[in-house]
Amino acid sequence: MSFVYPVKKIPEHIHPVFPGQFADEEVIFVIRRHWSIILNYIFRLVAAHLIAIVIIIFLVYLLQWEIPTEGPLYVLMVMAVSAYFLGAWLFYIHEFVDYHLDLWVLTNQRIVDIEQNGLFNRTVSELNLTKVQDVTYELSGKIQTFLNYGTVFIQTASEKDRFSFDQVANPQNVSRQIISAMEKANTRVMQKQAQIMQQEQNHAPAATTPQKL
Amino acid sequence: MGYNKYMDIPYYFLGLLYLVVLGFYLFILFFNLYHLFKFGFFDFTGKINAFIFCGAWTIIIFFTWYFLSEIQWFDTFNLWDETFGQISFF
Repeated sequence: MSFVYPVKKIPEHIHPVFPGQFADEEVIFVIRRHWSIILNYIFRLVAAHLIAIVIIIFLVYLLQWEIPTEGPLYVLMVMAVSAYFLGAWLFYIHEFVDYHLDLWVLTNQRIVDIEQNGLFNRTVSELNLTKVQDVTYELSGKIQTFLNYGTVFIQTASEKDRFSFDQVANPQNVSRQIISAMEKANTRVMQKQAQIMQQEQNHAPAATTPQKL
Repeated sequence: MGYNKYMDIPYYFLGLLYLVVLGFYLFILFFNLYHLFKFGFFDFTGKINAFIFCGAWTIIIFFTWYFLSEIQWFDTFNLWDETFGQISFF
């Protein structure tokens, strides 16, 4: 069974894939939160429109409320309805940008967590793969279990909070990918250390035996 | 001093209020779209959402302008007699 995470292949001409990528760094995957999160905001946008339409129908057709087609009340109502729809769309685009700019990147060297919090708050955290101690994932609730998305927690040696990938699709495969990348990174580091020790031994002066007095 | 029951307000006052709200709206919108461009993830999903959003924005502004195009902005109205005086729920 293959555990390759089904991410869209990143074209080779795109470099860097994310801001701050090293020249010798290979990107394994780039993920966002699950698509159902943005679908939720689309439903809210549609609901906001439907609510407004239902209220207008209720006032005009059921209550027979005659809205004047001129005068200050008319102007105020047109402006209020316009502001309401503009607000609904602004809320949607704001949530979309927040969703779209929240990224988790796994490379062959590190994990990068790019998080957009509101308009003027952007956090980029990095974690070296060799510092990873434990990876766990959690699916909580019916919806997450049904749609197969959840949170992946990455425990490090530091006392800081756990690194987490929130609401990502297929958390089992994501955690396996991280463990696989971590093992490769550790192997690489050990090989490098062994190489350095070998070089030091080769260049060290020959050991001299102490002479008997 | 009691309130002036017969205070007249020009229509453009309402227009200015709307423009203030619109200005705040554009300010937030600018930063949202700026983030989409600036941080390098203006991919297909970003483009399609920005396009749909701009389309919806244009439609809303067009209909607002259409419904308010007949308004004589320099005319005045009496706040109590002409605005709330028209509402009759009972």
